[in-house]
Parts: sequence; C-alpha cells; structure tokens
Amino acid sequence: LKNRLKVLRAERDWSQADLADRLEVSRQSVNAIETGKYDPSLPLAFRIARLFDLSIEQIFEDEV
Amino acid sequence: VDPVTGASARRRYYVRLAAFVAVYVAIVVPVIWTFNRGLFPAPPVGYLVAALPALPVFGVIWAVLRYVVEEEDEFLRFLHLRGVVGATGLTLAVCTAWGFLGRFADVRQPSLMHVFTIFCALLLPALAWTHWRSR
Repeated sequence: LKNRLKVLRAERDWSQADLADRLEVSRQSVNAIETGKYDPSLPLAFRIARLFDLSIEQIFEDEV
Repeated sequence: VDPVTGASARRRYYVRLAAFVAVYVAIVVPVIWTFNRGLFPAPPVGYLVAALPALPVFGVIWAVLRYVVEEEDEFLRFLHLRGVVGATGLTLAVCTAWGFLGRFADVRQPSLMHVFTIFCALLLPALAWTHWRSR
C-alpha cells in the first residue's frame, strides 16, 4: 500500500514520535508504515484515518 | 503498558525469558554435576531428573507465546514473530544439516540436549536483527 502518512505528518509539523504517541504505537511502527515496509491492520488504519479526520482511502492507496 | 506495574509487554517478556533461562541453568548445572560424580539417581527417578531441563524450555515457549498475546503494538508483534520463526527455522536447518553431516561425513555431533542452547543462541541475534532493520 502506498500512503500519504509522511505528507500528512509534515503538514502538521509532527515528528514520527509525535504521531506514534498520538496513535499509541511505537515509532518503528510509524516508520515502517510510512516507508511502505508494513501495511497496518484495518483497526490501525481506521485509527490513523480518524486522527487525520480523513477516510482510509484518502490516506492509503491500493497499488493494484 | 500494564496499568498496575507500568511495565511494557516487551520488558515483561525479557524478564520472563531471563528467568526461565536462569532456571534452565540452575537445573542443568546440578544435573551434570551429579552425573559426572556418579551420583545420578537410578531409574525411574533418574528419568525424571534427566528430563527436568525440559521444563524451563516449556517456560520459554510460554513466554514467547504470552508476548504475542500481550504486545499491543501490532508491528512489534510482527517483528517478534518474524524473529522467532526465523530462529526456529535456522535451528531446524542447522540441526538437520548437522545430523546429515554426522551420518554421511563423520562430522562430530552435539547431543540433542543442546538443541535448546542452539535455539537461544540463534533467537537473540534474530530478534536483534529484525529490530535493527526496522529501527
């Protein structure tokens, strides 16, 4: 999955650690999701979407 | 994080692992000591004493599985499982290769009782490597 997490985070001037705190996950998780090394579960994707007040599709893009 | 103790799942996991490895050493040392001095009990008690070192191995497996249940961070859970599966696979591969080398190439072999030690020796670098790659 491609995602806009890094851009959304930068727009708010948040560090990876800031975003990790808000999502209650580790900084490694944020880094792995941002770099596309790890696709989050549906519950975590919903949490991310809620945090940015966007839909999942506005953040994550299916590469197919 | 545990609301009562404040300890993270990972910290509890490492404490449990260290505790079970310590119990393993505490059992193995006297077992070997009594055997080497000819003080080892005769069967059936001897069978029980000889099998005792396997008990903390169950403890280690329990700690590994418990961490999977307790870790709330799904990515850390994924990393952990990848490390454990990697170490298990490497242990199987090393032991299988060593077994064939012993049977067909006369290579000296360790006893089966060392499999747990081999697993632990591979688990630590496997976990360290998976975490280092995702730092």
